[in-house]
Amino acid sequence: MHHEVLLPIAGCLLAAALWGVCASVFDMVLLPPPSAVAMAMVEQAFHGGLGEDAWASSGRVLAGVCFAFSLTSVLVLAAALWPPFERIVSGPIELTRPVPPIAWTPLAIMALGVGPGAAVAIVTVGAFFPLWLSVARGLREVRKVHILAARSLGAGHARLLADVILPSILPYALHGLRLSTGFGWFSVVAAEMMGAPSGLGRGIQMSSLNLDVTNLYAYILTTGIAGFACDRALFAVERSVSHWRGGKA
Amino acid sequence: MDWLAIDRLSAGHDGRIVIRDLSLSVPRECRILAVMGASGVGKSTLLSVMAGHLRPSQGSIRICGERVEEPSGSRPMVFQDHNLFPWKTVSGNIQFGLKCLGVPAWIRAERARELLDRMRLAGVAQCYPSQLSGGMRQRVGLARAMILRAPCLLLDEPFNALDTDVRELLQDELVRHVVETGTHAVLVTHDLAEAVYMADAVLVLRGGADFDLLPVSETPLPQRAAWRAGTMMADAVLRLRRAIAGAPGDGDTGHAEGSLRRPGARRVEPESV
Repeated sequence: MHHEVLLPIAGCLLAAALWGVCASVFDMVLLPPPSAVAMAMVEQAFHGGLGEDAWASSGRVLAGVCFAFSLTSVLVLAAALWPPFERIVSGPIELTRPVPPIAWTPLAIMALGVGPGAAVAIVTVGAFFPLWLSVARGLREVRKVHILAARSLGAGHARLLADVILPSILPYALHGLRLSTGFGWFSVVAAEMMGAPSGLGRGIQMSSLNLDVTNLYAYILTTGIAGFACDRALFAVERSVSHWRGGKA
Repeated sequence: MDWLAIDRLSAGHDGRIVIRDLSLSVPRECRILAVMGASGVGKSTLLSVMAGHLRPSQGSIRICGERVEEPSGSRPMVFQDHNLFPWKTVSGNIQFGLKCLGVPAWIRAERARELLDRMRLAGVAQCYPSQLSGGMRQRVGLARAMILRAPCLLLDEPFNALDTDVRELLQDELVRHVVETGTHAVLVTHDLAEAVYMADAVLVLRGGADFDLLPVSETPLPQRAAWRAGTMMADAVLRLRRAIAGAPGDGDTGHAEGSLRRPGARRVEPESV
């Protein structure tokens, strides 16, 4: 347990130290010292727009992941009630999955205008595929013996769904949710860079246009920290809900 | 009145028929029927058809007057690999069948508590299957089926791979359950001693339509506990082994048609040794 926490922290400190050494040795415009970036983050958080941008991006990720989760839930419910449905939808899903979410941005902007709506739509696209893949795998791995056992104990369709199929796929769904949130963060930054009134992506875009490299690093680091915090929170949920697996979250 | 009636049954897996045109009946006084036979003769196939997990290619089975069409809580099955729900606690697993019947939570909890005490599982009621030993899991699997007090229990080698103490505990609890609730049971087993100790009759499948239906003993089930202590068990096992080995040539037990009440059916009487 200690190693699980301490070693990553030690790794971050080591990377920061290496960054500091490189920054002082090479003295490049593109590599400001970590202390300057940290100061810029504090300054932007309290007196600039970093806090508001982080808040706006987080809301879009949350909304997009919620939409993706809702869509996946409907599809999974249909596939659980009628198994061939999973094969039927897998065709169009597999065809559109390789398309990067950013490719949908022009369509989203044309349909929803420049604003949060388009960014949420892009996040939804980015978050949906990993979530669906994970849940569909869970659906395929519902053990037939558990279904037979439940049916021989008198379970009807509703009880089978509520007490066997959904608990079986829950660990996969939570793992998929972690992955999709990560993809949501990739997507939101890209979408906001293409056109949004606020958000971390817009901050990154503005910093690069202003050639403010320190601010650029501050926004990039903030994006990483926000994504990491979301992942850890979902990991904790995944662990607590999957405790019956004996520690295998 | 027969509690088990099999009529011209044919069934198999993956296009291979292992039971062909099987007909037999078992009267009500036979509480526990052991099913034996070499690997691949169709013991588990027959049990799957009885459970409603497998559709026969022809023929039918009636259990306790009900024609088997699909799985039902009136014929709960205990599996060799227990197949507990890993996301439910021991208590949750045991209560599952009653939950399916819509029994209120407090009654479920009460009945589960009784069974947990009887099966010596009270201390692990809130544990998950992953936290239990193999023997404990099998006890939970048996309790999960017993709680329903169904007319018939189907048991697919449930006591395999258990150590002697646990196996004897579960055998005794199952016999006690059968006697107390008046239920019937079909027990697939490879263990002659288990069949002799627990069953009223042994169905020996020989593949296709061939079988022998051998009554084991007229000693009432609960009184057989004394057998464990003496030589009765060994003698009874020996007699059953001889009966199984000699049955096909004797012509007094069935091929394609059989009943315990048929004139000339063989009896193996351990107490007469």
